[in-house]
Amino acid sequence: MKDGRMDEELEKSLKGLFDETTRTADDAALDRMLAAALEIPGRRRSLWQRLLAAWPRAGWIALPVAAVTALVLALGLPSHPEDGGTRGTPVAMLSTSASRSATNPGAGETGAVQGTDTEVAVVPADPLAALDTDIDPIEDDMALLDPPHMAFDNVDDSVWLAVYDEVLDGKISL
Amino acid sequence: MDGISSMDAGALPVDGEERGASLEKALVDAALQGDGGAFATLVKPHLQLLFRVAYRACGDASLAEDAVQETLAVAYQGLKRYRPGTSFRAYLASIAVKRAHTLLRSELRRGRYESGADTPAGGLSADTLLEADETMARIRDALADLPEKRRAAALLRLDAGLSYEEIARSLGISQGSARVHVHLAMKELRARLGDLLISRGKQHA
Repeated sequence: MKDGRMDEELEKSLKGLFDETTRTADDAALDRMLAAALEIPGRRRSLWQRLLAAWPRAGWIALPVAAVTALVLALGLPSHPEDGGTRGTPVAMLSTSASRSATNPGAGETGAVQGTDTEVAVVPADPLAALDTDIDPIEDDMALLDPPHMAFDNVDDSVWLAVYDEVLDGKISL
Repeated sequence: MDGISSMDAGALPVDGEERGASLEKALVDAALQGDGGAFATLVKPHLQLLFRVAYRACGDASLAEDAVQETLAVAYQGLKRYRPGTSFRAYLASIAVKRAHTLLRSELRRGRYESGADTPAGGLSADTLLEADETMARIRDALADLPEKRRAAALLRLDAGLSYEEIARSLGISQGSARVHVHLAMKELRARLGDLLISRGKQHA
């Protein structure tokens, strides 16, 4: 009981401190944020542009190649270097089905982008579920790529990809 | 904007009320059908709260604004998984906390982040602003040193004002765990910010 009362008092003090140091957005900023919310279909297009800009040619080549790779992996053929196969799959093509194979990370697993040391982590698209995975893209200094289905219609929407920003900067070769 | 999307955002009912849940469901359904006005009606009452949480997490107004915008995008994408009547505020706030930290980390890694670079609010003296900035930075540092779930629980409780039930739902943990996370976070914050709490207590005595 005593602990409970102490907690209440501490919470009240901390809330007071937080309230005194909080910042609010002005109406113009709120309007901007709201406008962004109303333009979500536009965001989808800009993501396309962003990703395609990062992979100008390789992306188009990688899509069919990776689709075949995913099919091969789904059939259970060896794909890890140690098994005599290729390593990883282009980030854009990681899908739920592919992610369940040995070399392509599924939710809560990590992997690498083909031919690079770029780490990839897959976390559930549901932000609440994502909080429960062992992977912490923030602590691991990774960035969450926007849900891939926003950019690629053929990718399952149940996972998010967390990748280093270098991927978006086009510093990888697929 | 017409029909349900034209409803005044301020008329959005409190979570948990039956009528509120059905109205919220109607708005969610309309938003899922592509009604931007309905989505705006859903999120508008929570924008200031989202900004507050995001700003606390990253300490930069423009970054916080980005975090809120991304939160809205993520929230929209995940809207079909949201269950009306379970606290839309908690749903949004938990995303905002995560997005703000992700953006901050990203900016820090790129070396583009400058703490305290915001334009100060008018009407306050330079000393007052400096003191407020220092206090803000100390709170942010103390929060940053907490384990992730503990930090999220603290932000959701102290800044977003969520109930333990809402925090538990947001973090995917039990209510008991939510209480423990908040309790431990507050203890650690007291250890780090004790002098600020004492001086504040004296000022308000």
